[in-house]
Amino acid sequence: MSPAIAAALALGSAYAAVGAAVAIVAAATRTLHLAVGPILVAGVLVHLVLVSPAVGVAAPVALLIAIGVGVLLSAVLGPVVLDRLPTGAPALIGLVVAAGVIDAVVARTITARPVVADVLVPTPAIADVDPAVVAALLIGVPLALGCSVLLARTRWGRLVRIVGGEPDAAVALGRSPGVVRASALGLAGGAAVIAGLLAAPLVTVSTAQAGGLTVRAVAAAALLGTGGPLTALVGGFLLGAAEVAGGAWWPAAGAEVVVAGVVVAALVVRGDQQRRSWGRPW
Amino acid sequence: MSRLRRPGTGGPAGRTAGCLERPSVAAAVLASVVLLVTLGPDPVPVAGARLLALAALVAAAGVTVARVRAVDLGAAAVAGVGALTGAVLPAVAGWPALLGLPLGVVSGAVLGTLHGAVIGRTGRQLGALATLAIGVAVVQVLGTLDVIGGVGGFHAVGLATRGGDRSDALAVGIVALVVIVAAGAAARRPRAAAAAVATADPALAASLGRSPVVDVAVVGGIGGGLLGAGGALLAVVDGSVVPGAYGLQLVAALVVGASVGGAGWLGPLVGAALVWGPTTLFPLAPLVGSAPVLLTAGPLGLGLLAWRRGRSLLPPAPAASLTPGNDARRRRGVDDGTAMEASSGTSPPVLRLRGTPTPSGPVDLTVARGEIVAVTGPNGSGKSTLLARIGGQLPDDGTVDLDGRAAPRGARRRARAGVARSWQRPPEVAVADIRVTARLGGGDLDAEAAAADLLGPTVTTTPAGAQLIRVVGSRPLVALLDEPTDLPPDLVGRLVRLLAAGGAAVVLVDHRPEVAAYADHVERLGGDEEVGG
Repeated sequence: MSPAIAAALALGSAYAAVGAAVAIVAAATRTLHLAVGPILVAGVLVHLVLVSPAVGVAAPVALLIAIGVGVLLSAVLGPVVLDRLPTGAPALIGLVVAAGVIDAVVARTITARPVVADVLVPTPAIADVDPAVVAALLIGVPLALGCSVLLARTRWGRLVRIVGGEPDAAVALGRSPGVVRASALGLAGGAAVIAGLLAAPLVTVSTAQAGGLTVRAVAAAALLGTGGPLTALVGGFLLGAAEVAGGAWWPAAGAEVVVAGVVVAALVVRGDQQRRSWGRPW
Repeated sequence: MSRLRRPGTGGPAGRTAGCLERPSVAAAVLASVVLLVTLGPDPVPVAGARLLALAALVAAAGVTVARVRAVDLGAAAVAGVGALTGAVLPAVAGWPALLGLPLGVVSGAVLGTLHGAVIGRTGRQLGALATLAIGVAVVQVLGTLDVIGGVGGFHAVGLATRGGDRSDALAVGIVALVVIVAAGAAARRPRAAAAAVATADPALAASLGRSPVVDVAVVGGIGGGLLGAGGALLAVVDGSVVPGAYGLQLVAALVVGASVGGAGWLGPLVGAALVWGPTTLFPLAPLVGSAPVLLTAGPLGLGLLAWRRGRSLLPPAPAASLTPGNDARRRRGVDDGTAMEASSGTSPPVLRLRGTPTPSGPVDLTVARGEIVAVTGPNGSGKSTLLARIGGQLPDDGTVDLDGRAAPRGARRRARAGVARSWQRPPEVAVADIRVTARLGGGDLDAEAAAADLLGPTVTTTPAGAQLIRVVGSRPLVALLDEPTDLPPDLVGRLVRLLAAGGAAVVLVDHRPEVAAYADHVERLGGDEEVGG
C-alpha cells in the first residue's frame, strides 16, 4: 500500500470517528458542533503534555484524562450554550464563541510546541503499513460504526432522536432533553480526542489547526447529507483523501485549499437537497 | 383605515433604540467619540483609533452576522485579505495608505460575495461550515505569501498622516466612522431584509420571488467590502499583518461583538468596547490587559446573548420603507374593474391542474379568476403537497398550467408569475423583513391596508396575520392559503372573499366547515368530491 493511500485511510478513519459523533450531536441538537475542533486540540495537547518526559504520566492514564477533558469541555456546552440560546444563529454563534474561548485558553495555558505524537495504541506493522495507520483504521472505523449502532439500535439513541425532533416528547417520557443533549455532546468530545490522537502521528495538531480540524470533523458529518454516522464514515474517507491529495499537490497550503474546495463544492452542488434534508430549523 | 405598525419600535426598549439609531443622533454620538479620542491625553489617541478600527470591523461583520443572521465564519479571513491588499500591498508598492483602502474594499467585496452566495445556496448552518472552510484555506494561503516579512508577519504602511498621533488618530477615526455609518446604512437597505429572509427561510424567499443566492451574495459583498476596509484600517494602525491572527479567535470575537452590539450605527461601538475595551483601556491590569480578549469577552458576550435570548443590546433600526406603486397590478395586467366582475361561472380558468400527483392520487382541478376552492381531506392526504406543487416548492411534472400556459418551474419563477402562498406554520422570520422583501417585488399598499383593516390591529401584527396581508398585498393571480387556523373562520372567510374580489384564484386548505362554507367549490382529497358554497 502506498504511503499516500495509507495516510488517506488513516486520516479518513479519524475524521470518520469524530464525524460520526458530530452526527449524533446533530441528531440531538439540530445544530452542527462548531466547537469540536478546539476541543480535539485541547484533548490532544493535554495528552501530549501528560505523556511527555517532563510529566511522565502513564499513557493509559493520560489517555483517560485527555478523553475526560474532551468529554467535559464538550458536555458543558449543552447547559452553558445550547440550553440558554435559541436555535439557529444564536446557538451557532454561541458555539463559535465557545470555540474561540477554548482555543484562547488552550493557546495561553498549554505552551507545548507541536510534536510528532506516538501511536495511540502499540500496533504491529501489517504488510509494511505504518502502525499509526493500522491503529487509526482499527480504532477509528469501529468507533464510527459504534456511533451508528448507538444512534440506531439503543434506547439512548432513540432518546437522542426524540430530543432532536421533539424535545417536549422527551419531557413527557420523563427524560431531560438537556441531559440527553449534554451526553451527546460529551460523546462527541471524547470521540474528538480519540480521533485527534489517531491523527496526531500523521498531521500537526495545535491551536493553529483548530479551525481546519473543525471543518473536517463537521464536514465529515454533513458533507453527504443527513445519513448519520454511516454517512460520516464515507465523508471522513473523502476528506482524508482530499487532504492527502492537496498536501501532495501543494505542501504549504494544498490540504486546506482542497478540503475547502471539496466541502464547498459538495454543499453547493447539493444545496437545495442539503437544506431540505437538514430540515427547517437549519 | 388602520395604519400598519412599524415593527421593532413598540416597547420602551425599542423606542430607546429607535432614538439612538436615528441618523442625526448616531452621527452626533460617533463624531463625539472620534473627537474625544483625538483630543484625549496620550496614549488615548492611538488606543482609541485602534478601538475605532476594530469597531469598523465589528460593524462590517454585523451586516451579515447581526442583520442577516448569517453566520459568516470566514469574516476574519475577509478582513485579512483586505489588510493584505489594502495595507501591505501599498507598503510594497510605496503607495499612500488611503490609496490602498479601495483595494482592500474590492478584495473584501469579492470574497464576501463568494461567502454570501455560498450561504444563500446552502443555508445558515451549512453556510457557516462552508465559510469556515473557505476562511481557513484563505488564511493558510496568506501564510504562504512571502511579500516582505514572510509567515511571521508583513509590514504594512504606516498611519496616514505625518502630523503625529492626534492627526493620525483623527484620520483613522474618520475612515472608521465612514465604515460604521456605511455598515449601518447597508443594514437598513431593503436588500438586507431580503437577505435575512433568504437566510432564515430560503423556501419563503423563493415564494416571494427572490433568489436567496443573489440576495445574500449582494449583502455579503457589501459586508465583505467594508470588512476589507476595516482590515486595512486595522493593519495601518498596527503597522503589520500577521496572517495567523485572522483565524478562529478573531472570528469568534467579531461575531460576539456584532451579535451583542447589533447592526445599527452605535451597536458596533458597544460590541467592540465589550470585546476589546478592557484590554485597550486597562492594558497594564494583571489579568485583563494580558489575557486573550475572548477570555473575558466570550463569557460576558454569551451571558448577554443568553439574557437577551439571542437578540442584540441595540435592536437594528427598521429597514428603510419602500414606497411601491401598484407594480404587481401593472405587471400582471390585473384591472380592478374587471377583477371585481370576475366570477367562477364566466371567467376563463387561471389555474388548471392535470393529474398533479399527491399521496391520494393524481388531482385534476380548474380554478377561475375570482373563484374560491377549498381543499379538504384527512391528514396525509396531500393537501399541503398539492399547494407545494402549485406553488413550485415541489416539482409538478408539468401538470400545472397558469393562465393557459405551462407554469414556470421553481417557486421563484412561479411567484413572479403571480402565485402567492401562505404557510400552515408561519415562518420564523421577522414580519417586517418579510413585508419589505415582498414589496421589493412590487406590492400594493392599498390592498395591504384593506387586508389590515379587515383583520384588525391585533391580528395584523401576528405572524399568521402578517403573512395573509402579504399575500393580499402581492395582488396574486393565484393565492394559496395553507391552513390559516391561527385565525378565526369568519376572518379567513372574509379575507378569501377579498382576495377573490381582487381577481385571484384562491385555493384554500382548511379543515373547518365554517371556512369551507365561504368557498365556491370544495375539493376533497382522499375521498369523494363535494360541492358547496
